[in-house]
Amino acid sequence: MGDLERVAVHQTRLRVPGVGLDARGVVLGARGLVLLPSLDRLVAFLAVYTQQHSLSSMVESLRIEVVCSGLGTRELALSFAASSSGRLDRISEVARLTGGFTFTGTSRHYIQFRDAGAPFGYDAREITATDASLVLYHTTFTQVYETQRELDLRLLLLQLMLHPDPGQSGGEGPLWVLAEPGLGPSLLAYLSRSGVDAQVGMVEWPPTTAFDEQPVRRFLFRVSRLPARMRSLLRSTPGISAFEPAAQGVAVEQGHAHPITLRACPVFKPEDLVLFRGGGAPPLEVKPLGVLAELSSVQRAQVRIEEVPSSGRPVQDGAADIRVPIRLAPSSSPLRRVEASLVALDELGRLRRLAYLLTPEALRTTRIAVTKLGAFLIRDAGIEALPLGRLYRQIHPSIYVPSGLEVVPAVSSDVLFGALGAPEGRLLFFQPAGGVLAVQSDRFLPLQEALLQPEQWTLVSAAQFDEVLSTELPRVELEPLGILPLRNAKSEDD
Amino acid sequence: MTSIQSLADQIAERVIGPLLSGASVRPVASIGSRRAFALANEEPVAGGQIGLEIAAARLRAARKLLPLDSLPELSPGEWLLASALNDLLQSTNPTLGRLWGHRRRRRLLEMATAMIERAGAPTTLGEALARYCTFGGCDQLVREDTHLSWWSGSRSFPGTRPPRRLLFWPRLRRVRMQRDAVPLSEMAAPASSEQYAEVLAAWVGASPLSDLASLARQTPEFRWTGASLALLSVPPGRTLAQRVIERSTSQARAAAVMRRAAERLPGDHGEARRSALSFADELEQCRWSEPVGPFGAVA
Repeated sequence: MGDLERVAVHQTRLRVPGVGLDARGVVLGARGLVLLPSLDRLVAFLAVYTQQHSLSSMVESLRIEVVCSGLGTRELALSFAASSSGRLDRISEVARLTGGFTFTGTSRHYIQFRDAGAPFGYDAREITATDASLVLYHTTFTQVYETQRELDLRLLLLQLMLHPDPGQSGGEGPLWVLAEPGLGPSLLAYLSRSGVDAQVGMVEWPPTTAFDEQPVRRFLFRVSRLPARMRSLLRSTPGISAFEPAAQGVAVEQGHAHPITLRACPVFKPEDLVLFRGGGAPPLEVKPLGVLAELSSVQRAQVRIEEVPSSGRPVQDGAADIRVPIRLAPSSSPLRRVEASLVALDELGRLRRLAYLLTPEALRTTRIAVTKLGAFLIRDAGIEALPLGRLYRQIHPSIYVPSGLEVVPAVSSDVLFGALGAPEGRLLFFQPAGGVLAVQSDRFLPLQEALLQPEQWTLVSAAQFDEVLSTELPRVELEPLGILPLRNAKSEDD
Repeated sequence: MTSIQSLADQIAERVIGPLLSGASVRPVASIGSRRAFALANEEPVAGGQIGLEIAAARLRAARKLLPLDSLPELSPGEWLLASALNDLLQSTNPTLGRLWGHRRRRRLLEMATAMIERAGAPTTLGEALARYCTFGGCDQLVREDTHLSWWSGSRSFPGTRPPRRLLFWPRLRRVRMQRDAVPLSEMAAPASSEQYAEVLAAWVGASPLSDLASLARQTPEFRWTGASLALLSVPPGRTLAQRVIERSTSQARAAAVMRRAAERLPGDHGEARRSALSFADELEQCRWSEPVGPFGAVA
C-alpha cells in the first residue's frame, strides 16, 4: 500500500488537498492526470481513447506536459478537467491498458484514482511538502515532478507519421485531391469531362529551400463524390495525391491512417486544411483554405463565332490558366428526339413543299425564324415531321446542340448557359464547325402564320365591273375598212 | 385634243379596254407604224372612265400573281404592242379587198412587225408584268365567224355580223347559221397565214409572261426567246413564270413543251438551254406555286 490508504465508506476527511468525495463517494479532484512513461505510450493512450471517446469535452482543459522527476527521468503528464468520476474511470481503463497511471487532484498534489483495490479511492497518509509543480501519490511510489515543457496536442498530431492502411482506400465519399501544377489542368478537364462534382483552388506554400524563389503551388480539388473507377487512377498517378477527410479541416492520404482518431480531436480549425501525407512526408497545412471554385465556373466558354486566330492571352507571371474551351464531340448515347432544325437557304423550296403536307397540329406548334443563314424551326414535340436541314436537340430551354454531338466538358446545361453569357431573349444554336448562333426568341412565329403572305389591299376607285364569273371572253369584231382601208396606215418610210 | 391622244383613246376604248373586260374588241382603222411610233413617243394616258377601268382591270390581273398596290400607266411599249395587235387583227379583216388584199395584209403585217421590234423585250420585271396584265387575255381572244347558208347560197362572215336581210324568212329561205369561235392564231387568211403566224409569234414573245402563260398553244408553237430566258434569269421572274403557268396549264405539260423548245435552241446557246431545262425540271418538281416575298426572298 505504501503511503496511501484506502478511503472508507462515508469517509469524509481527506488529507490530500484539493480532492473530495463526489456523489458516489469516490475521491475526486478538479482535475485528472494520466502519467505516461513515454511519448509513444501517450500516443497509444490517445489512440485507444479516441477510438471510443472524443476529446471535445476536455480539449479546452487538456494539458500535456513533459515532467521531470528528481531522478532525472522524464515522463508525460496528461491532465484535464475531471468533471466526473465516470470519465476518470474510462480514462483509467485506457491508461491501465497503455501503461499509464491515473491520478486525481486539483493543483499540485494528485492522488491515485480509485481502482479495484480501493473502490472509493485513496488518500495519502502524509503530504509531501515541496515547491515542485507536481506531486503524485501512488500506491507504489510518491514522486515529485517538475514541469519541463508543455506539448501542444495539435503539434503532436501533426508530428505523428501515418501508417499504411489499405482498408482506408475505399468508398466513393468526398475526397481532397492534390495535383502538381502540370497535372492540374489535365485533371480539371478530366473531372469536368466526366461530370464530377468538384471544386478547385490553387494553394501555395513557402519554398522548401532558400534556392527556390517561387512558392510551392499545387492544385487542390475538393471532390464531392469520385467514381470508384477514378480512385485507382488518382492513386497510381505520380503527382496526384488523394486525401480522405478525417475530420473537419483534416484529411489523410488515401491508403494511410493516422495513429489517432483525428475525428475525436477537435484541435484543427474548420477554415484551415491539414493534409496528412504518407511515406513520412510532413503534413501540408493550408491556412486558410482559400477560395475553391466550381469546375464549371472556372471553365470559360471560348466560343469562336468566326474562324479567327486565338489572341493567346499571356499567362500572368506565376499564375496558371485553368480555363478550357467548349467543344462538340460525337455522342455515344442513343439518338434522342430532335426539337429544332436549321434549314439552309437553298432548301427553303423543299420546306415550302413539305409545308403543304404538314398536319394542322404540326403547323400550329412549329415555330420558324428566317435569317440570312436559313430558317430555324423549333417544335417542342419533335421536328421529325420536317426532316430538313441540320437537326438539333435541346439541352436547355435556350440551348440547342446538333444531333449526334454533345458539349464537352460535360457541364450542366445551366452552367453552360451561364458561361455563354446567359443572354436573355435569345436561343443559342451550337454549330458543328464551331461557334454559337444566337436568334432572338421573339423572331419566332408559328409556321402557319409565316407560310401565308398577307394580302395588301388598297381601295380601288369605284367602278362598276361585271361579276367575274360572268365576264365574257373578248371577241373580235371587224368593221368594214372602206374603200381605202390603209389610208391612215403609213410606215416611216412613206 | 390632238390626233395622237384621240388615237390613244380609241385604242384604249376599242382594243385594250375590251380585251381586259371581255367585251368586243373592235380594232380601229389600220394604225400604221408611223402613227404607232408617234403614239409611243407621246406616251399618252388613257383618260376618262375607260382609263379607270383599264387601270382596275390591270391591277386585278396583277394581284393574281403578287400583292401590288398599283401598276404604272400604259408604257410606250404597251401602246406599240396594242397598235401592233390592232393592225394584226385588221390584217385578218376580209374587207381589205380581194384584189389587193394580200399586199395590204402583207403591208400591215410588216408594219406590225416594225411596231413589235420598236417595243422590244421588257427590260424590267415590272414592265414584263405590266405587259402580261394588259395583254395576258389575248390567248382567249376569239373571232366569231358566222357561216350563213340559205336556200340559194352561203356566205361566211368572219368577225362580222351578216346583214339582216340575209336572215329574213329563215324558214322559207332555209337559213342556217353556224358560228365558230376562231382563236387568234387561226384568224389569218390562208394566203397570209405564214406571215401572220410569224408576226403573232413575235407579238406574243414581246410579252414573255404572256408567252409562257400560253405555251401550251398549238400555234404559234412556243419557242424560247431572249425575253423569256431573261425573265427566268432572276428568281422573282421564275416565280412569276411558275405562277402564270400554273394558272394556265399543267406543270408536266408545260415542262414537256419547254424541253422540246430547249432542244431547238442553237448549239452555241448551251447556257440558255441549261437555264431552260433547269426551269422545266423545277416546274416538274414543284407542284405548288411559291410565294414571292420575305419568306421566299431571304438573302
